[in-house]
Amino acid sequence: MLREVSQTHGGRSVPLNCLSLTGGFAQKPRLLVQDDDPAQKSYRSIRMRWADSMDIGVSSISPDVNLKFRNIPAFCAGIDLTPDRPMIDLSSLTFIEPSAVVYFGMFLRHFNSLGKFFDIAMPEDQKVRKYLSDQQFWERFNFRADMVIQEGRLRTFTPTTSPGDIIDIERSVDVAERVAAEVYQILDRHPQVGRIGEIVSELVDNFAIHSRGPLAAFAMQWYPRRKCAILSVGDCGIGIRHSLSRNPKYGHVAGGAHYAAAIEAFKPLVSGKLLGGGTGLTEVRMAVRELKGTVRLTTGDGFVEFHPRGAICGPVPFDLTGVQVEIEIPT
Amino acid sequence: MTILELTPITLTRRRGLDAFRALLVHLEREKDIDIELDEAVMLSMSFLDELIWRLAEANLLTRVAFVTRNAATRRKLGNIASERDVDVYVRRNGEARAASVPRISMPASMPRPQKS
Repeated sequence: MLREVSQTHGGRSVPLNCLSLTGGFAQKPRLLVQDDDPAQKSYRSIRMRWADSMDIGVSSISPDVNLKFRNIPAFCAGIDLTPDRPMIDLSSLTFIEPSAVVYFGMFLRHFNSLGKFFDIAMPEDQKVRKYLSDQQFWERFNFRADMVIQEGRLRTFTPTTSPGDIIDIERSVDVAERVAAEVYQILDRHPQVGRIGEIVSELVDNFAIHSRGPLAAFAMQWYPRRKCAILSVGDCGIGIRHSLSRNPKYGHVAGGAHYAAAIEAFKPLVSGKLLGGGTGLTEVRMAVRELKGTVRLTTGDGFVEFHPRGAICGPVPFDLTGVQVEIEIPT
Repeated sequence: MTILELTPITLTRRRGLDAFRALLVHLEREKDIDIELDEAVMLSMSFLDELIWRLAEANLLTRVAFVTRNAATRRKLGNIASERDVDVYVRRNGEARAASVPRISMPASMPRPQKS
């Protein structure tokens, strides 16, 4: 049976007001830093630039920061990357969804791989600190991915893996079926477990075949109050536009927007491979639609979202390499 | 035969290719083959598409009938038949004859750009 897994990783659920799906915050914007302390400037920079990101659903700034898949690109866009060691201020973080953790983890891994490391102001909220600690977030993401593999720190599935865990996925030929099998075992009594496993398999196999990156991350969380499960897969590989343009048939996407390439990839038989074509993302879209769920995908600075009432696409404020996907399925 | 006799795992294109290669051996000995699909706990579109595409490329698809009562599996077979422009033969358990599965187009409508 599925068990409730909260931000405290098995403890009590976080307050309902931290689970807002609307993306808006109740309180008015408030500038938290009033002095000119240089050490605080990057913090202010994050706040101010985040405040400008009205276009992706963050309607105002609040001292209670709730990071979700919808607003995490704006948060990353607000990080000042010009210093040698950029500052990331998470002190006001009160909630972070696993899919935002995956996106943020890919952000860190990408810049770590470029030799850029970060100073982090840790969350003051004890629940969030414990959640990130339980997920070994810093050990997992704040290192170069190739070093993580070499040093054997990669944390894969264990017998205690639960729906609330973040899982590292190392590229291999059978990784998709292994992850799908684990998901099947964890969700074994869910009525749609087979379909969910198939969706996971398609997404992880896309990473294994197309990303050219060594590592991805997978997360799964069940929200009893929202009556939904969220699955997330992220990588910091070459992304859809680059992958698709390797096939001369789709070479035209190389000069276009990331979201346009993503739309192309959702069409049947479209693939970066020269032979055979692909059906993975098309099937993910159809299967999620049958389950009355939602698919959200970001690649580069583009996003595509298919939800029960239609679809939207466009730019996001941050250009993160790779592909990040969030699947929300009613339970 | 069941699909699990061809491959123990029915996810991914790699396994679809494995199933195709295993099926070739049987097709050398038998004229037509029925493949029961419903024992697979997870049966992905990529797996089925790879198997059917390979069979079609080898001109062997007409010698294979897929047996299933599962509506989702029939939908996937219909999608593949439509996108690959091939006839995929399907029958339910107990039915004497296989029939070409109705073709079902995969979604063509795509979103227009806008802010999320």
